[in-house]
Amino acid sequence: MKLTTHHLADPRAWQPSLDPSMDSANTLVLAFGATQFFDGAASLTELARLYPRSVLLGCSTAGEIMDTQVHDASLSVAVVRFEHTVLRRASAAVVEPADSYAAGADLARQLVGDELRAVFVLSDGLCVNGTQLVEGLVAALPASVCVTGGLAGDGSDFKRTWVLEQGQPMAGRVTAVGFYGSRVRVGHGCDHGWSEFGPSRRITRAEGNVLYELDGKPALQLYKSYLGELAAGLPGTALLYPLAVWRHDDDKQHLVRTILAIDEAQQTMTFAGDIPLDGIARLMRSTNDKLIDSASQAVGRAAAGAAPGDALVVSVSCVGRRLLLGERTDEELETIRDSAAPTAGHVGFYSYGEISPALGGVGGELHNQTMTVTVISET
Amino acid sequence: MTEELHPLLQRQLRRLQLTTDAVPDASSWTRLAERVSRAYRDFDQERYLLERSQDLASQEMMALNEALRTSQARLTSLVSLSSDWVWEQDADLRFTYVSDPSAGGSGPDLSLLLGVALTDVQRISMTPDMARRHALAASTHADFRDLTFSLSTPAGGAFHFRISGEPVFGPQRVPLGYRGVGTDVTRAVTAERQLQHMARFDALTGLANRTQLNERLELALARAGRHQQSFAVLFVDLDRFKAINDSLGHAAGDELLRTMAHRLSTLVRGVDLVARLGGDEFVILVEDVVEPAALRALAERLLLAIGEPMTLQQRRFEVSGSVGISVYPNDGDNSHTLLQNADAAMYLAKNRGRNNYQFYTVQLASQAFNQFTLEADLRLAVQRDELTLYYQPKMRVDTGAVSGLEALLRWRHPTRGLLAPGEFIDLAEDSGLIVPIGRWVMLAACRQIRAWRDAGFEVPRCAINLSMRQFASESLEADLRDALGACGLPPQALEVEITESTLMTDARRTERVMRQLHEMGIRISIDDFGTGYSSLAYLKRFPAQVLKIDRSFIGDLPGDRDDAAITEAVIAMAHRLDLTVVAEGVETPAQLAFLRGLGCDEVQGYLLGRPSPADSVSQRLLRHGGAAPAMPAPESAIDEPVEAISPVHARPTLRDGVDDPDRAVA
Repeated sequence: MKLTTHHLADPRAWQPSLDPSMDSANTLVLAFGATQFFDGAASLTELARLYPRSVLLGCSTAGEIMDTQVHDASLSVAVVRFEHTVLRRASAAVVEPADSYAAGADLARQLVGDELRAVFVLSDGLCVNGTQLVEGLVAALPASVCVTGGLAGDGSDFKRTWVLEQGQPMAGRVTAVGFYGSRVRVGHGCDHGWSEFGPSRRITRAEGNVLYELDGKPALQLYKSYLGELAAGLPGTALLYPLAVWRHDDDKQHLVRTILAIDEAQQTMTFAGDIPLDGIARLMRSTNDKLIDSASQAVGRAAAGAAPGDALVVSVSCVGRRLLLGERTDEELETIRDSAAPTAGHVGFYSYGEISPALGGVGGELHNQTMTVTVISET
Repeated sequence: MTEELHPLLQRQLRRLQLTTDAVPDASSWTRLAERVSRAYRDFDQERYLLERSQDLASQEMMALNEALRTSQARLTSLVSLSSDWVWEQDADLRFTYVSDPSAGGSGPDLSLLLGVALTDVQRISMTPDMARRHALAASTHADFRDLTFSLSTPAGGAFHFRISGEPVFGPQRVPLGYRGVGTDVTRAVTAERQLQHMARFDALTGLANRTQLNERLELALARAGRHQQSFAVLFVDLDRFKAINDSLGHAAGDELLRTMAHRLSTLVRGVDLVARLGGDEFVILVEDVVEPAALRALAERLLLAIGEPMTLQQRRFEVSGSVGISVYPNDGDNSHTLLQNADAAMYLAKNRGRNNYQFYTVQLASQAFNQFTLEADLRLAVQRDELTLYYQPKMRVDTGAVSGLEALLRWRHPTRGLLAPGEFIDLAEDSGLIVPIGRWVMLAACRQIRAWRDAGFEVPRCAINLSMRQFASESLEADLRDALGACGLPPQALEVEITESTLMTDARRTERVMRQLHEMGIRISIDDFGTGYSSLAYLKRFPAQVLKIDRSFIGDLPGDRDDAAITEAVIAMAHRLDLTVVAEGVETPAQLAFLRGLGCDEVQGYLLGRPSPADSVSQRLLRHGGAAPAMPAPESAIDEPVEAISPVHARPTLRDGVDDPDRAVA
């Protein structure tokens, strides 16, 4: 396969220039860009024009990844022309979170077919219930198909996200590409590096992905006290304390939930995933070093089994990680780049939700605060 | 120098495309400064978050700990105050912990539970149902409630506990054991068992009660039906129990019953059942044994055991029993019939003089009925003037003079004819009618004596028979005085005859009553001597004047060597004790001659005169002017006119001299 990556930042010049000869029916174009590309989407239209036969997928971000750095107000693009692999594009509408499961099932129906190996999903980040979307998708696909991808971001504003549809940035859409063939290798890995701390708390009041109370007291108050002076930065600073959630008291695995929004009037917190009523929750924290280590773990797993030669590494990391890492965000990207083959191309974005099979699992799950890495290669 | 810079700073320089070799332009410098500043803030924030989250979490944990401690203290306090206790078991269901609320108090020592598993059958027992429930709960690691079990103690006792518990799990739902609460229910269980026992056992004697008897009868019937086997029902009634109970009090009566219950129990096999129906009635259920010989042997053993003297309230007593036997399936194929028929056979035994056993026969049904109506008739006999007294003379052997008369009760029954006491005295005793009848006899005898005296006859002493009940009555002395007084007679006019058995029934009391009578001046005669369990020690203390040798020793004289020896010995002993000896049942001249030879003082029997109504007696007294009729001389005994001799029927304990109870010659 042949691979090129391109970055568009201010001033608007592609580095390097786009190469239209890469266009084909077996070409995948991934574009991750800032929210502002909602308005003035000339660059995106350009992509659609230069690669008319290709499968074009893209979404807004909370930071675009290119090589070893994270950028804002830019576009990160990867163009991959496969030789032996067939691609197919799927798309569905999601108006509100309740449509999510059906949308996922719809995508699956469009993609299901012989030799389907993997699916990469990019979804609206704000009006979708990520958990339901992935469940609907995975339920209708064969168990051997791995699903990776992410939910579009909007910096740390949480206001509006876009997903590319016919080269146009649109809200309320879910898109996916399926990889078919025996020569394609899609490796995946994920890790988060957050550790739970402090007392276990009973989730005494929650509805769907909205948390009201822990141990009978407003959850928002708990966050404010732990954030201290950083509470002024809510909801964004709530990303610093993701929630570890257990559905049942004796579950071995827990889920990591990240904040999406808060409501001061209702004293509620909306998370990017369901909060199980009567379950257990604990706060989580991390340090930069632990986050960076987790990135290294993730890429290690994803890169294993990759075909020699060129590979496309797509990292979907979490806005919460960027908030904590701050200036050291690039470090986790460096770690990933260093672990991949020298000729690999590295793109990706900081998202509002990451999709990848769970550690040691199959199919796909929604993660938060997690570094997920997908390594695509062809033998 | 670049190598020594912090990696982050290196990265930041790279980002801005700066090196340390060249001085950055102003905007780059500003951007670098901003980045470096941001990095410092990041570090501050990271530390801030770390410290803050640590502090807050620490505070929360302490608060939780405190709450836990308080909760623990509350729980401990509640547990220590509660009469219930808490327990824990390990995965093998062995008790590993018990709190002990009694703490050395009066409760059971719960530490006995430690180390014991609920499945340990050596120490723990529970009903099969409980065991099943527990096994099910344990196998599915489920809760259980109200599991009752008993724990045997080294001392040989048992405690009963009731526990409820829930399973305890560790990580990954590994079962660690159980924990729960428990309570001591020993008292409740014991009380319940007692209740159950009481429902099936007689409280006084500890024998099976009627309920249990019926159960066993049904079982026996079922078994007998299935396996073509038989079984027998023995009805055992204690003779004259009511009299003893009334005269000595219920405490003595109870003790008597307990003693009898024990004696009966020791005579039967484990498979058989001895039950108390109530009062003085016992029923014995004998399984698989129906040969008459075996049942006879058993009945005789029972009678022997019942008849053995016993000590009640430091006094010596003797009673006898009557046994009725019915057999399945001949005498009935259901409980009710078998019991009823055994009962009828028992009544027959009573009628035949008591202290014997009878097998059921088909005729008994009507006889039982007869018994019932007879009692009703007897009740009316006194009012209807159906009772009358016959008199039989006693004569001195040496002179042939009439030394006394014995008054004998007769009942002119409207349909059955003249009945002798043998046919209704037991009935009278059992029903209590003996009391009014006894008084009637005293009065009637006294009146007759008065009449004879008024007519100018020299009336010898007249003897009346006293029944056991009369003898035991507190009003005996008063009744006698009343009768004598009403007829203006001195006490010396009367004599009382009391059987040896009656006297020995309550020897100590006997002595007291006899002294009373003796002091009154009434002559006392020990009747039917030789037929009871006499104690010679008492005999010498009884203030009696006369000893009457029972007819059973006289009947075969002079041929029977044993009877001869006994008679000779009794006469000798009686004389040594200054007692006058009367031989009863003398019917042949040979007997008379032999007795004369032994020195017997007086004789009574058909040879000398049959019992006859007062009129006949009057004639004799008239005829002989009060002197004795011609006594057959020793040599010409055979030629003298004598009354017809009727055959003697040996009978164990008849009291008067009538051989044939069905008819008496008027």
